[in-house]
Amino acid sequence: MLPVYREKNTLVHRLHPLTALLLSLTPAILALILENPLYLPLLCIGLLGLIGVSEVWDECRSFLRLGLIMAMFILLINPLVNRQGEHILVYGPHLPFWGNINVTLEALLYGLFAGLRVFVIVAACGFLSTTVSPDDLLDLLARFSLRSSLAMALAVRLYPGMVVEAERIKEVQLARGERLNEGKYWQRFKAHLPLWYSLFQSSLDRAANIAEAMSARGFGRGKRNVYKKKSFQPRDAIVALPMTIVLAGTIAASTAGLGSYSFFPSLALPWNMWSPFFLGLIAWGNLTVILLIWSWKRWHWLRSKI
Amino acid sequence: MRSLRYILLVLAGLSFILGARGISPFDNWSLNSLFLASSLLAFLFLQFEARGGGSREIAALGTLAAMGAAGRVLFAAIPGLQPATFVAILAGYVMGIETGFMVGALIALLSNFFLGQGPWTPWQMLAWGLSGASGGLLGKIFKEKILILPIVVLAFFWGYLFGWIMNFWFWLSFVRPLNFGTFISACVASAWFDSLHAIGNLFFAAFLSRPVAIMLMRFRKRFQCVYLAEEER
Amino acid sequence: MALVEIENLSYWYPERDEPALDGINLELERGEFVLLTGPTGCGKTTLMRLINGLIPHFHGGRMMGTVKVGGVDTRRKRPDELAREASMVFQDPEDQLVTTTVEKEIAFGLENFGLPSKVIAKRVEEMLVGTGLSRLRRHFIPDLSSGEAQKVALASALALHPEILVLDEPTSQLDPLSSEELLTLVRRVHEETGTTVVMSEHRLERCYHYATRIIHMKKGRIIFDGTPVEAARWCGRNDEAFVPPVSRVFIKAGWEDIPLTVNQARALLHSYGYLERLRVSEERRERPWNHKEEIARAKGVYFIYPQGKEALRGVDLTINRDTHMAILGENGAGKSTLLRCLLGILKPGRGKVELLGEVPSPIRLPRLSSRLAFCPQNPGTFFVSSTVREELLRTLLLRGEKENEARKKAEDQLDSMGLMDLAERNPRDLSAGEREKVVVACALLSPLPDLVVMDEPTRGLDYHSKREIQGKLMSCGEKGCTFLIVTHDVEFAASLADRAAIMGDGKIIVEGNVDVVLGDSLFFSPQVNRLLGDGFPGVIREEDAVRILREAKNLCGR
Repeated sequence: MLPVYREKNTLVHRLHPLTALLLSLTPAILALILENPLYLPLLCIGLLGLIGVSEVWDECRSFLRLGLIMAMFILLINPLVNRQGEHILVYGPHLPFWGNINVTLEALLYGLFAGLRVFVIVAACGFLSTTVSPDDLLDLLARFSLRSSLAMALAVRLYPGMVVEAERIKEVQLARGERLNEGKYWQRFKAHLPLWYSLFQSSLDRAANIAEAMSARGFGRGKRNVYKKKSFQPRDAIVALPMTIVLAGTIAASTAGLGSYSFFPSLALPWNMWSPFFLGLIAWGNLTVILLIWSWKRWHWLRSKI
Repeated sequence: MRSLRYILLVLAGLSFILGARGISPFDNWSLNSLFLASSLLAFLFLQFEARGGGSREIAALGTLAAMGAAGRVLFAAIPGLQPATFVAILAGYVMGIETGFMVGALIALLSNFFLGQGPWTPWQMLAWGLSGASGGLLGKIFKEKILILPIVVLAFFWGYLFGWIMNFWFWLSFVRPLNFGTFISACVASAWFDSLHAIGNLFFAAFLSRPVAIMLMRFRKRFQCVYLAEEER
Repeated sequence: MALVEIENLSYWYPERDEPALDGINLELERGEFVLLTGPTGCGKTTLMRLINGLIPHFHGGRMMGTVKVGGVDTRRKRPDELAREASMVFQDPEDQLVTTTVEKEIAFGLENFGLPSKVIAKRVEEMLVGTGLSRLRRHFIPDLSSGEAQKVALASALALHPEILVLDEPTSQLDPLSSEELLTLVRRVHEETGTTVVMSEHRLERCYHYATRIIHMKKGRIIFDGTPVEAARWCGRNDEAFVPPVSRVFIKAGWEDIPLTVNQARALLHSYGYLERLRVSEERRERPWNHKEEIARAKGVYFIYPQGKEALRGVDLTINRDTHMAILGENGAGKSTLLRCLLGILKPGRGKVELLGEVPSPIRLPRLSSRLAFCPQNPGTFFVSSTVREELLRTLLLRGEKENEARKKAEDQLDSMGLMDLAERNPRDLSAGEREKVVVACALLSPLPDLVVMDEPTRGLDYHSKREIQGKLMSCGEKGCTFLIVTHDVEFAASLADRAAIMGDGKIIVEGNVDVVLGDSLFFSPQVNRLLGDGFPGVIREEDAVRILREAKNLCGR
């Protein structure tokens, strides 16, 4: 029932969830920090490489599609609403209350940049969702907020059952003569109301039973231990190190104002003396990890050592 | 844990103020907004954690969140209708501000567990959580009474507010320049969806507030364990 | 000192005037296997909650008298200590598992007690291996079958190393096969670890003879307490039916010796040479039915779920007017899928389905509501009103009847089904048996529907409720109702159906006269058939077996 995550035998799937979180969020954070359009395509390629080498292409496809749609949307909307920029490409009509709809080169390029940014972020989230099991993510949550993570675990466990129950309620009420699929919006809505009552009431009854079962197993006693299965391994350090370096390097350089870039009022030249540094850093980080994952899969010696 | 909570809050505030004045280490709203939302969320979660709560509370939270997310399946035949906001608001109204917030936040997190997490997750958690918290506030004002009209107004309003919060995130992260005009145009673009959401909420609130609130109140009453020991020999 | 001492105990749930327990005196020794029997609502569950401290610590209420576990008053003990001494397994696995994976679930209770991680790891491993769950250790809990899930619940209770294991109708939501597995596991735990077991259970054939002590309750009081053999005799004298089906037959036939298992019963009959001396003419109950009119038909139906499971693989099934068809088969055999295809909720990939002369679909289904009644497996999905009366009324209004007439009909039905006392109750607050009765009452409102489809109508019901529902259905059957019943309950199928089909692997394996289908098998047959089957292959119903045994008794002058 968990549609996005599947157990696989790759290095990424064997990582500690914290490392995997670092690995997948680094590209997303970089995409947010770096304002220079030059670096994004590289990030994008690196991420796609990561997805490919981790064997999650199929699972990620829906994320990539969504990212692409969002990117297209931004690419289309940005030039229309954005009236800054000096190089006007198309003179649009004049709208009341709004002004002239002019498409500028700067806005167009910014749209491209922002679209790519969205794509990278969504793809990174897809990578995270498909390589870290939700269960491990919950364990991470449990480290700092135990109660909410327990409630969340309970919700995750109950959800599939409730979806099935909702389907069953629909079937049964259809058979009883409730016309759920006919009529206007309003009629359909009214026909659905009793179903909602049914689902709500049985969920509350269930909550009461679960609370009893939890008490029967000693919940609420006070000091509680959290039983962790996964521990850090050398492979975590090997993956985390390059990611930390890339992240730290980029943050340090950007804080010093080295990577800044401005689209408006007029495009600046993306290439400057710091570009090789950023490009090199990103390429190095990505390549290291991709190579590592690739050889882990093929090289038994490496697998057994880390 | 207590100190961590407040450090988080201070950090969130600092990043906001510095960001707004353009002197933050990241004078970059894409990142700032993410940081703002996550630290605010973390603060609220820790707040909930510190308050504690027994098995009944955890069980209620888990089931309400699962139901808020699964309710969508029930209404699959009607486009644009999903009961999540309504569930969060009502949970808040009857069970209090914190529970409302947590139910809303967990609904968002849960839906995304099954549909896929994304950069929108923290913002959705925040938006739905706040809708639940606002329901809690309303419940505080009206005490034990169930007044339909305020709930209906609130639910309708949250249809738009939810959209605007999500737009706000989108606008901060991906739209430049950041000015009033671009934000408004983002809202205009999403107006259709937001209206659908708001009307759905309106219907839910108008027709279901009373029965659902009564059910929740009955449930809450079962929470209160009254123990009268009588020792007669 | 006894492990559990209950003295003069009476207990009231919050806001109830009737006591749930009324003057209970009970001592439980270490190592006992106690089986609690009695009708629903007799206080079995309450007694169990008392032993592990859920009463009063969780439920509150009013309590008189004392309960001591391990010599200490439960009111003085902390609830979590009690939880560790007496772990509980509840009815529905869906309502007691709280985490996402099997391993975590078993660890949950141990974490609550703050045990060191090493101890937790050891206990989890021990439970996984001991209960045969290690294959499923990382499985997502919602993906488990209910049998597996209940095993996980048992393992998590055992992981606390309790002195007493309390089980409240642990198999009521399971199919026969998983129930037997679970009960065998409980027996093994008792045998190998000496854990005290207190269990209530309506599936008595598996555990009755094994128990060291039977406690029978009625209306909050203990009315019998003794060994299984004594209990069976006592039930015989007092006309109580809380014994395994095979014993019930002997009781009803008026025998003095009451065997507890099929094996004992056969030995008993053999020892007197009855089986050899009895040769009653082999009769089959063939009810006259009109073969012509088809009520429902599936022809070459195939269905594959989007997830890839091929649930139906060429099913042919015809249900004629006036037949009572029972479909049996293990979980996952495709029974429910077939039902959904017949109702038009699922659209077959290949093949044709006809229902009441139409091709069913989700749009057409509501229009058939006056001719078709569907009783779902879980009555919780059926109820949408807040009182039983409204539920009946609603059924009639959805069928398109006028308000005034509907009200009158609803009252009539409440009266004739004996539901008047429950009319103003919320159907969800009723016992399993009463709930099913309400569903059946809705289904059998006049005018009677042409077809009644039932999915597992007897799940979780005790003998009395089953008989009552069976009686209602039989009387409607005589008035021309056709039944399609999907069930695991062989006894129920035998006494109600005239035709039966066994499904397996997405196909109908065999279909025919119920006596033949159920009579000629080892595991799909009712207990009475296993008892008398070699002499009377067609005997599958309790009444027939009682008649034969009565004859046998007279024949030999006992």
